[in-house]
Amino acid sequence: MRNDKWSNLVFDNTNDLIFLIEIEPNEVFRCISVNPAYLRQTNLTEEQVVGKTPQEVLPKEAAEYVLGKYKQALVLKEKIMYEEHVQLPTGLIIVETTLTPVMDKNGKPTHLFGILRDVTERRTQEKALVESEQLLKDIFNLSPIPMLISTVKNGVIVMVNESFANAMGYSVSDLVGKTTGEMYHDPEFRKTIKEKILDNGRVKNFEISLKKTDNETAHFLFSSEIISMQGQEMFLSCFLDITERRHIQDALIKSESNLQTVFENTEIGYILLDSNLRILSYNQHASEFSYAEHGKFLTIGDYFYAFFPVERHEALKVVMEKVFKGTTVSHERSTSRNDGEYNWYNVKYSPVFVKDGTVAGVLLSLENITERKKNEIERNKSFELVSQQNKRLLDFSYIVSHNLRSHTSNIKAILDLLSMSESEAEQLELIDKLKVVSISLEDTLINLNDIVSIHSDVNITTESLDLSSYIDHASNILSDLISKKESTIFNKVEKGQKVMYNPAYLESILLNLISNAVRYSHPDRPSQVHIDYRMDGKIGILTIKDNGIGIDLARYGQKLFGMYKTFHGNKDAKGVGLFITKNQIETMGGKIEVESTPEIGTSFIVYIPQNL
Amino acid sequence: MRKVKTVCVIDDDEIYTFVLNKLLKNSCLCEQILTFQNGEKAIKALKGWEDTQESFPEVVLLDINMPIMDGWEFLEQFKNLSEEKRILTQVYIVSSSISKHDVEKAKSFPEVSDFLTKPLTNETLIKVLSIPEN
Repeated sequence: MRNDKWSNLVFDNTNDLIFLIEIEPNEVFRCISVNPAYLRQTNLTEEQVVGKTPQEVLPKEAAEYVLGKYKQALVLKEKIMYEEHVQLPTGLIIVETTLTPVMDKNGKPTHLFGILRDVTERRTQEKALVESEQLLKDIFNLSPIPMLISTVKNGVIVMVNESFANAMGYSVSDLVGKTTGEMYHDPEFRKTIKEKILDNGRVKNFEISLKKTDNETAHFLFSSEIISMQGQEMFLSCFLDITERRHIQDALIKSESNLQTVFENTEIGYILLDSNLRILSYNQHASEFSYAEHGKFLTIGDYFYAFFPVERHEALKVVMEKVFKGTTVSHERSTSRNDGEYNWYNVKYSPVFVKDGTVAGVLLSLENITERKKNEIERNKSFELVSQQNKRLLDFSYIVSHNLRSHTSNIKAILDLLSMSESEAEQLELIDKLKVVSISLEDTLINLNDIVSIHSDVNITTESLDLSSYIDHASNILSDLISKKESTIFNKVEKGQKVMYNPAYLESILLNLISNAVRYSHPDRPSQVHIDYRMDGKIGILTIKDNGIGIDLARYGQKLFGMYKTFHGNKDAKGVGLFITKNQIETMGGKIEVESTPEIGTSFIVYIPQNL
Repeated sequence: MRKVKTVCVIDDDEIYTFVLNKLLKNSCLCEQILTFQNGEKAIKALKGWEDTQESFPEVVLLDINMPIMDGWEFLEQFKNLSEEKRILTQVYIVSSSISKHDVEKAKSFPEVSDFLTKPLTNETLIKVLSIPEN
């Protein structure tokens, strides 16, 4: 009985609970043997079990359940298996019970052989596995992240979730069974990706484009890993939908490149500053402007104030404060050029608002307005010139009427007297007076004629004239007056110094100013007249300075160059000279100024533009 | 009506002053004529009378454009003379100017009675020099 021995060995050493039941008449099931494991695990003694029926050992309900199973085995006459929960002193366990009926020669069951195997752990693990599988399935299906499982071999889609289907415009059932290759614009692309995954075992955040149902393109960041499922190698792939992001990015790139094109091709310089006044962006024009004004090209990240001398920071701060309160500030600036001309800029500081209305930065625009400014200055100049001209003409019309009227009224008055006069002597006297009036009238007309001719000469010719010799020439003409006054003329103008001027005007101006300087000499000292000439840019400055009696400019300054104004009570003074001189100088585009101190002397300063 | 005692003519136009002297003498509208070639000479004379028993001329015929001191400057100085003396003096601007500016400026001086345009006629002189007897 080697077999029996083997059986005993198993019987004694197994962890399974083994029992043998003898079937007595009237369906009495009496336990006749249990193995040591049975006693060990139930914590019962042999006496408590062996020779007993289930009714004697188990609670009523459990006993009935067990008896049911025993009877079932007897009826079926074959082995039955079932699971039951058994309360042991160590706790509740799940057992898999095998009941095997043992028959005699006649086929009548005599015994029941039972084995209870503890399957608690196995069942718990199996349950956990099922639960976790379900969990994973749920996660997969409900995940907002598009996911897909496909075979490595040919890309057949085995599982796919709702998110992926939505992203692609399909339903889940449409996709299962399709191949992933169908979703690429170029089906061959799958091979490239497959190789990439196989090389590294995975890919992470690889950018791919897939074809949607509507033939639109969806963009994803794609991650994939090889898993084993249903005995096959599969790709588990996750997708991050970046279609929207790509669209925004594309639009931004497009609009940025458009903007950049505008930015670079505009005539206006732009600098974008962040809230810390650091340069975020700029265009070429702005950088060139910076180089021209500050000797430094722009660099992104540069601090705005660093381009300016410290003394301008305070003013800039005031500007920036206004801008950060939401106001646009603009002003005009001029910068000197190498050629002595000026560049004019319109500098505008505009706040850059973000969505909630706060100021996030400053946009600086620099518009070169040199041409516009030049025109404006030119326009102002000509407007001023026209205004001056108008005023002169109006003054002149008053002068004409005043001067002619004073003579005509005298003539009328004399004639009235003549008509009333009865004495011949008186009549002769009146006729003498008439002659005086007639001479004065003629003088006046000649003077007025001179003035009219200045005003009516629209295009006066200019020539290159030797200033020094013109001064000498004027001094020669005035030599009688000069020697009578014992005056000395110091002609300090360099020989050969040329001026562009009208010859007749230059002669007239010099005669007038030199004769004035000599005529109003101081009785207490020898008269000296100093004449010099210098250039200030494109303007020549001729100065005629005397040490004569001077003029009280506070009193007469305004009238000095008026017509028929005399100040010294000098009998020779006709009050025409300076008026004509001033008109001639202004007609040549210049001006005349006077500086004087009574008892010390007078300087007349004549500005002669040399860019004619 | 009574005769004006003194008329003061301030003008640098010799012909005008000659003719005016003749007219005034012929018309017998005043007893005495004082002629000054500019404002400065006239104001000096008036200042000389300020502290004397002599009264100021009852009528002043004042030109505007004159050398040294013109009519306007004369008026500025005249304002500062003793009010007691000058209150009885009628100042007339006499000019060949027809500039609006001059007429407006003359009106701005309360001391100026009127703005007369040259030539002065007999009728104007009679009007100006007729002082009612009080």
